[in-house]
Amino acid sequence: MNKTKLFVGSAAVLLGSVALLAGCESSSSSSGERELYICAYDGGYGSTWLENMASEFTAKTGIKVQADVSTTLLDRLEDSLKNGGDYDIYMSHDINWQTYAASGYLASLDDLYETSIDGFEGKTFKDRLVAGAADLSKAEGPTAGEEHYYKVCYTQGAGGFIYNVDMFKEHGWTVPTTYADLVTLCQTIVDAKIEVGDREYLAPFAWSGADRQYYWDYPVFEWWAQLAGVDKINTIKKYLGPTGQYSDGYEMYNPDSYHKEFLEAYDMWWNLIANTSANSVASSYSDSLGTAQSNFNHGKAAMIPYAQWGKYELESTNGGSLDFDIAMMKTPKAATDSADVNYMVGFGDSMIVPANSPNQDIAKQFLAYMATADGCRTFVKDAKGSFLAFDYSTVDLSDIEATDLYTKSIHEKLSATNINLVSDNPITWWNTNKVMPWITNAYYYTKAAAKPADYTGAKIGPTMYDTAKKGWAGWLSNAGL
Amino acid sequence: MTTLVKAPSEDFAPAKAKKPKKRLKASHVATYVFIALMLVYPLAHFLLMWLGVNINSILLTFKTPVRGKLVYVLSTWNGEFATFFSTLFKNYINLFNGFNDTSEAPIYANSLAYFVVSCLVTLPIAMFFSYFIFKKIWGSTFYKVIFFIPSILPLFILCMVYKYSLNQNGLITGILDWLQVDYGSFFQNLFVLDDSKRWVVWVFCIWAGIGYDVILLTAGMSRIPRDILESCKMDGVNPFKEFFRIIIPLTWPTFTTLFIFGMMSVFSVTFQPFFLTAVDNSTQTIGLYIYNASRGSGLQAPATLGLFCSLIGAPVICLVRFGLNKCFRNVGF
Repeated sequence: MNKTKLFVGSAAVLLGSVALLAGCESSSSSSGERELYICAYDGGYGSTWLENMASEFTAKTGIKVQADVSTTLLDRLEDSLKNGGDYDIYMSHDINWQTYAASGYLASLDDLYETSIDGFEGKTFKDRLVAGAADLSKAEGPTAGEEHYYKVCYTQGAGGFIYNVDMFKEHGWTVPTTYADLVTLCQTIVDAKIEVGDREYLAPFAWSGADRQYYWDYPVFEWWAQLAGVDKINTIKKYLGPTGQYSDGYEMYNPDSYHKEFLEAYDMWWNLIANTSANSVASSYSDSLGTAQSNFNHGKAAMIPYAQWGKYELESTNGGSLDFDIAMMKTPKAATDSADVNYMVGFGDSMIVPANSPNQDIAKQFLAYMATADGCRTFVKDAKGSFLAFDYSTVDLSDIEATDLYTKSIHEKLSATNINLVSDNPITWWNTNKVMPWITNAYYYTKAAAKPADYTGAKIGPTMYDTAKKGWAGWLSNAGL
Repeated sequence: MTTLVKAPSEDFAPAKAKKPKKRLKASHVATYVFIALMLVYPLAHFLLMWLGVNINSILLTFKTPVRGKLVYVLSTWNGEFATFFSTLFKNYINLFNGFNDTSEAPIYANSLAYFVVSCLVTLPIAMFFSYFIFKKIWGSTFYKVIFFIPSILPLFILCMVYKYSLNQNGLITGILDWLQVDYGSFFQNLFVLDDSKRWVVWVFCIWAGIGYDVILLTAGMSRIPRDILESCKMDGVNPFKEFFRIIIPLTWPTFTTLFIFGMMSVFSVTFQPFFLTAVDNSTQTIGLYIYNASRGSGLQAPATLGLFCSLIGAPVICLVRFGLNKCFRNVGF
């Protein structure tokens, strides 16, 4: 009996201790100092920028920061927001933040947007964001009809063609400024028959059809914007039909009207790559990203379609700095008289603060620090040429750009008219993989390169339109429209 | 006899008579407690993991997302009688409308193709291989091991081995290069074009599925009494006749079970296309669609499809099983 009592007593003490320990705030250190926990997606920006920015923030405020990067962040994000997680800030692409905001999982960031930013007199956090970023960060919260800021745009992106600067110099090739120049350059490279291995010749492009065919979107979207005009693209993004109603929004895929220029831009790509196989490294359309990177790194191709994180990833694959300089060219214009346009890759990426975070105030402090000139510089320097979604016009990057041609080229590309395809229309976020420029998220680049005749603009346009028409009613229903 | 019937009366039942009754009750209590304790886990498991999950799934089919939360469809009803049924069965209507949606339609055709792959291709091939192994042809033990290996390896590893053997710089192209065979862009297109991708997954399912079927079928064949086969031999029955007239009827229960499993693959093939071709419309199946859709917050659509498949699949499978059992009389040996 005594033994039983002893056992029951011990168990009670043990359980009590566990309960007490569990009740401790995970975000407070034993000494009572507050600690901020951040989790960022482990993608093309690396972790160095976050570690360094965390150190700078700690040095400035005395608040400790635990910064982690993870590739599985998105798998557990909803559960963490719902039931309480370990982090006070999450940064990633593909965060379904409008849904989380409506569910009450996110902290309102209204006060952050009105916070003054150090070093920018009279400017608030909202003023520091690039044009359009604040508008895309507002959504309805748990109370219907009440809109608040629930996220901060993470990065402003640039995408297009990264080229081997040294190779261009060596052969006397000039960076093409128009599509026609690009076609001529490709022909010049092919005709030069520069040997790069056993019966292998230098190709204009290396690319990955198996993993990253959508990297071709970056030049194609810019050509589309140049052909259609930014206003038309903004109209299409609303997915309201010609009647101004959602019910015939599928008309945005009509190949003879709204989608016409998109298909023309696709055809430009088709002529350049799909129909001219000599313009790519032979195996490109079935290559993995690693193989494509390796082909470019080893000088088997002069250009590679990529986005701003290109330098970081190419160097990671190479195991260190490249043996040659690289830069991102302004995408050659669709026509001589077209204006420069930059498609903001990854503009939909988000930074959010969970509603259940006990450290919302210091989380907002950290986000405000990111908007300072020091924060912006650290990101550019450590993420190797990527830019946060803040206005860099008054941030001095001259010392970085003096030694880094790539960062300079990205900076120049961002100075063009920026377009993005992030829509604030519910049909896009309730049907994430359906309503996109490529309907149902079905890309044709790889297939077109394998079987060019089957995937011309004239053939894929009606297919996409038909798919949109048939699926539209269901997608509207999903979106509650 | 009459006295015994009156036994419960107080004057006839002294304290002595009550004692054994008490003891009996105590032992019964212990038995009941024991039985109850033994039943707690399976009952709780059944209630929670079967009944609860299924009721929840059925309820999900009557929910709809409103501003990020799933609510019952009737809470969105506008009060007009004309729209009552269309509101109540909204998810089912969406499901049927989806049959016209070309972006989702391939999942049904893709899934049904696995009936052909499993039941009409893999199973007959496995039947023949099993017979050869059963007949102890030269190297049968080696073949048994070869067939058995894919069944014990994790699916992911098997998929990767298969994928990297077939891709453009894989084992097969290496051998063909060495033999100086010109295969053009065949291997380069294998994981690119829609039709090729479907074939890649089908061939994988046949390759990986044969082993499982062979194991069960050889086990079934090994139970056939030797004297029956010896008697056939003495009567001059050739192997062809022996296979169709003796082996198949006597292993029919195993065949029926494998056929039913094959039919279920219409709904269960999920990760084979996922590991080999990632999430791709051209190879997506019902199972893979449900898996992907369940990862988001719009759970009503996969729940409706799941329920629909159960309602269609269960009676069809029962009917087929009934029909197959009628083919041959069950023989006990």
